[in-house]
Order: sequence, then structure tokens, then C-alpha cells
Amino acid sequence: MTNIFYRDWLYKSQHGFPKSLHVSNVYFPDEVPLPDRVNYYFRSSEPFSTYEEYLFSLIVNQGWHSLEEAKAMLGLPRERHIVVDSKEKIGYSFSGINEKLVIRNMLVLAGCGENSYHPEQPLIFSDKRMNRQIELKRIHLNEFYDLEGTKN
Amino acid sequence: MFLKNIGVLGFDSLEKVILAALVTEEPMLIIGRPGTDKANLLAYISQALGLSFKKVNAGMTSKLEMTGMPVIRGNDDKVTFISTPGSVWKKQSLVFDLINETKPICMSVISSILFEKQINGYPMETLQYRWATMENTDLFNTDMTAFKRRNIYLEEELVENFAFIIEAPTWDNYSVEEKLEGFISGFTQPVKELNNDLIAFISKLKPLYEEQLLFPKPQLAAYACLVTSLLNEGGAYVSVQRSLQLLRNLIALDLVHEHWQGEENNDKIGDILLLGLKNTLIQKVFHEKIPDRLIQAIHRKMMQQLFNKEQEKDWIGIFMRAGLTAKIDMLFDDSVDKNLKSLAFIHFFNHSTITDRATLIFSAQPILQQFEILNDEAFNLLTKCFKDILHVDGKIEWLEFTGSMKKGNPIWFNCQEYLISLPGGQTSKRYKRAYQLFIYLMTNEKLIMDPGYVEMTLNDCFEKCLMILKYRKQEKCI
Repeated sequence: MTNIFYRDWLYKSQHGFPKSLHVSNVYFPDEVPLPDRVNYYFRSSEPFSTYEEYLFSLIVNQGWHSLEEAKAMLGLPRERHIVVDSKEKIGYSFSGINEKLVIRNMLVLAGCGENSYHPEQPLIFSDKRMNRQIELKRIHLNEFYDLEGTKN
Repeated sequence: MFLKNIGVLGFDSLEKVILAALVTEEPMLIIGRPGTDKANLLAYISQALGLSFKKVNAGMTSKLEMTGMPVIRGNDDKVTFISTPGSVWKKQSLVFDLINETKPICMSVISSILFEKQINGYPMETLQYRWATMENTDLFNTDMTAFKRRNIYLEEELVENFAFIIEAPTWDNYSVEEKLEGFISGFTQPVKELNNDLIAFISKLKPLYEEQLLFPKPQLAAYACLVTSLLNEGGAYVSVQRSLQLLRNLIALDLVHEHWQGEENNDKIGDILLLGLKNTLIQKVFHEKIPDRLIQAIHRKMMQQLFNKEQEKDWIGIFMRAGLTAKIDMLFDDSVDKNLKSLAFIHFFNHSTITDRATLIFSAQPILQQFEILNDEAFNLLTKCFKDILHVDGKIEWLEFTGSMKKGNPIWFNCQEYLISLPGGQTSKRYKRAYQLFIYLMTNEKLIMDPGYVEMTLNDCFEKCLMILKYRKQEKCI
């Protein structure tokens, strides 16, 4: 028998057919349902030279004087978070740009490392950081470790 | 610091020992090759301290030369000595040069001066420092006939009474600067002035030393005691008296170290203890030197047991050998430096099985994040792995034979069976986290041969973290 398909079948019948089971699961005990999750992403409708310049122009438009003031006004997350890439990407469509939202997203994106966000981390305005679409997740200890005796 | 100021060069490494000997006022023996200026060391120090000094050549001197002529005066048969400029009666510091050459007839006088501060029962009230020198015993083993002088070993009983036994520095011990300085100014040219700093330093430490003799620090006492035991076990005889002497020496050295005012006080307590130990052992007098590696090994062992700071060196090793729950405990030990913990964690991350790594990280990441236990580098590794565990999306692969009755991966089948057997059912947290860990391991091509063991370890780790969290919250409330 020289049939290549037969030889392949013979080989597999002796050594086993590859099988696979696809598994997918997300373990976040306090996962917020999708519509309420906050996605951080950045896209400008206007041309700009550098991210910093663009951010400062937006901040000045708002009548603020510094990054610290902007951070305080926008109420950025104040605790360490885990950074997760958004699986459900949101289309980059801005209809009537909310400048405050853009400033907030820029600040968060620049302040997020690959895996974690810390409010005191230095801001780095790199392409890699700014062209992401991320979510910030925080594990609540009581829930994660079942501290308050919720059932099992 | 002090010795250089009074013109003594080359004794840098032994300066603290010499100062300790000045504080304790106990006899010291200096061993050295000819021409190392060992006999003049106390002369220079005496000048700086403003003490009257006499160097006695132990081999040449006679009893009468030291004491002066004895005469009986008065009716009560009281013996007085007619003192000469060469007699030692009113001297405050004495050096017996080449004590190993002492004539037997003089030895009783010299030893009573050295160790009892008296001659023929008459106390020498002014005498403070009694040092002695002898030639390096290495020379004795060469051609004995080449030496005209009578080289004999000192008796062990005599040597036992010296507090410190130091070796005078040779040419190699001098630093380049000292050599140059020596040639410019002439080696060890004494500064013939009082050194008030040195006087103040010694007089400040003397009462403190007397105090500490009554209540020695427990760590020093334990060190002296245990080192003696180990040295005896290692074949180097150390007597009870020597052990007590070691403790006294360590107390003095510790005080000198604590009150050292120089800028170059880089020695740690371990270095000081080792210095004390090396300069207390008597074996070097008899040319049966204890191997340096034995002393170092014993010293290191003691330091690991007695001082936590030295334990840090092996903290990573202990961390690596500990079980997972013990590892979590160790990470939350506040006395350990954050960077050391992070280093240990990175080492664990790179050198552990995927099961151990995933179990520890899955259970402990949130609490490690909350209390900021690790530095950024370690935390980044931790969080990256934690994210992968929390969000699994992959394939469990296997091969299946034609004609096989079972359908499905047998190992995954075992895991599922175990999961179903867990108390609380599929809605329990224990089930959910075990499931999550299992699918993470299976999709990373790790075969879980004993799901029960893996799950129970995970559960133990979660319980441990829960305990720590409760404890920390209570502590915060208090």
C-alpha cells in the first residue's frame, strides 16, 4: 500500500490520534459585568506631535495648571491594580470628544506598566503604552480569601 | 586611628585588640620575627599615655636588677628594696622582651610581676601594663643550632595567663602608604607627646568594661561558650580558663568597637568576634596552629546561630528549602529586608516547578500586593503569572487510540473526579479555585498525577494567607 493517507492513518492508529479540549475560564471573584467595566484606550481625532504636548494642551483647555491638578480633578484610581488587556475591544469612534475622558485615559495608560498600575508610578508616554486597550482589575481581599465567612 | 597618631605603623588590623588590652590592663604577649619593633610598641603607647615605662630584657636581666637590693630595716624584719633607675618598682608599664629566653631563676619573678603585679609578695601599686614579647615559633623549627640564643617554648601554664596573644606585623602587613611614610619619617618614630584623645578613650572605657564584666552580653557569652565546645570537638584544646578569658577579651573588643570614633569603622560585630577569637587562642605560641579554615568554619556557624543579620546570607537557601506555607510565612517576616525577600522570590520563581509556582502565586498575590511585600521587579513577575492563572484560555491536548473505549484525557478525567468529590459542590470557592489551577496547569502541559495533593496544598496556602490577613487586620485595629 503506498497510499500516504493510509500510512498516516496506520501510524495514528498505532500511536494515537491527537485530541484536544479547549478550556477557557476567568477567575475574578468580583468581576463586574461587561457594560459597566471601564476600558482605557486612547485615540485622538486631531493630529499631534507628541503625547505630552497633546495632553498638556487638553489640560490647559480645561483650565488646569499641572498634571497633579488634573489627576486630582479626574479622580484616578488611588490603589494598585492589575492591568488586563481588554478582550472585548471597543471601536475607536469619538463622537463629540469628551476631553476629560481623554485626559483620564491618557494618564492611566501612561501610568500603567505591563502588569500593574500604581498611582505613584512615573508616567511614560510611549507608543507601546498608549496604543493599548486595557482594564484595571482589583482583587478584594475579603472576597478572594473569604474573610467574612461567605459560604465557602 | 590612635596608633598612627602616635607614630606606630603596621598595626592597623590589630589596633582594636591593642586598645582592648589597654582597657583591660591584662597582660599581652606579642609574637613576631626579629626586627618587627614589637618591644617598642608599648614604649610608644606609654609615652602617649604619659606613663613611666621600662623594657626588661628577660633573657639577660637578673632578679636583683629588676628589684634592686633588698635590705632589712627596722626591728620588724621588714624588707625594703633600694631602688635603682633600672628597677621596676615604680614603673607603670613594663615590657619583658624575649620572654621565651628567660632564665629559670628569673621566671618566678617575671611571672609574678606579669600575672600578679607583685614581687616577693610586695604589691606593685603603680603598675598597669605588663606586656611580653617572644620570637616567632616558626623560626624554632628551622635549624636550631643556627640560633645562639636559647629558644625554648614557653610553658603552657604561663601562656594561659596572657589575655591577648598577637602576632606583630611583618613587611607584608604594612600598607603602601605606611611603607612610604615610614621611609620618609623613619619607621615608627614615636611622637613624644601626650595623646589626650587616647587617654580619654581608655579612661572612658575602663569603667564600662568593669560594669560589663558583671553582666556580659548574652550573645558574647554564648559565642565564647559554643566556640570553645566546637574547637574542643575539632581537636584544638581550649581550657575553661581560656574560654572565660575569651569572653573578657570579647567584652573589651566589643566596647572598643562600639565607641570607635574613626571614620573607618567598617568592621561588623562578626569581624570583631573573629579578631578576638584569633588573638586569644594560645596554640600559635607552640607552633601547633589551628587551621584557619577550622576557625573560620566554627566562627561562621556561630554567627549564623547567634546573629540574625548573618543569617540573611543563608535566608534564600532556607526560603528555597521551606514548604509553600512556610514560604508565605517567611515572606511576611517584617524583620527581613524587602530586597532580600524579592531576590528569594525571583530565585524561587526561576527554579521551581510550575505547580509550586502557580500554587504560591495564585494564593498569595493579592495579599502580597496589598502589603507591598516585594519590590517592583519581583512584583511584576508575580503579577504576570497571576494574570495568566486568573485568565486561562488554552487547550488540553492528548492522543487517543483507535478502538479505545474511554473518550477523554484520563488525567483530566481524574482531576474532574476529584473536583466533584470536594465538599460544597461546584459553587464553592474551593472548587472554583482548584478548577482554575487545574486548567492552568493542564493547558501549560503539566500532567497532574495527584490532584488531591495539589489541591490540598493550594487550600493550605489559602488558609495560611487568610490567617495572615486576619492577623494583620487585627494588628491594624490595635
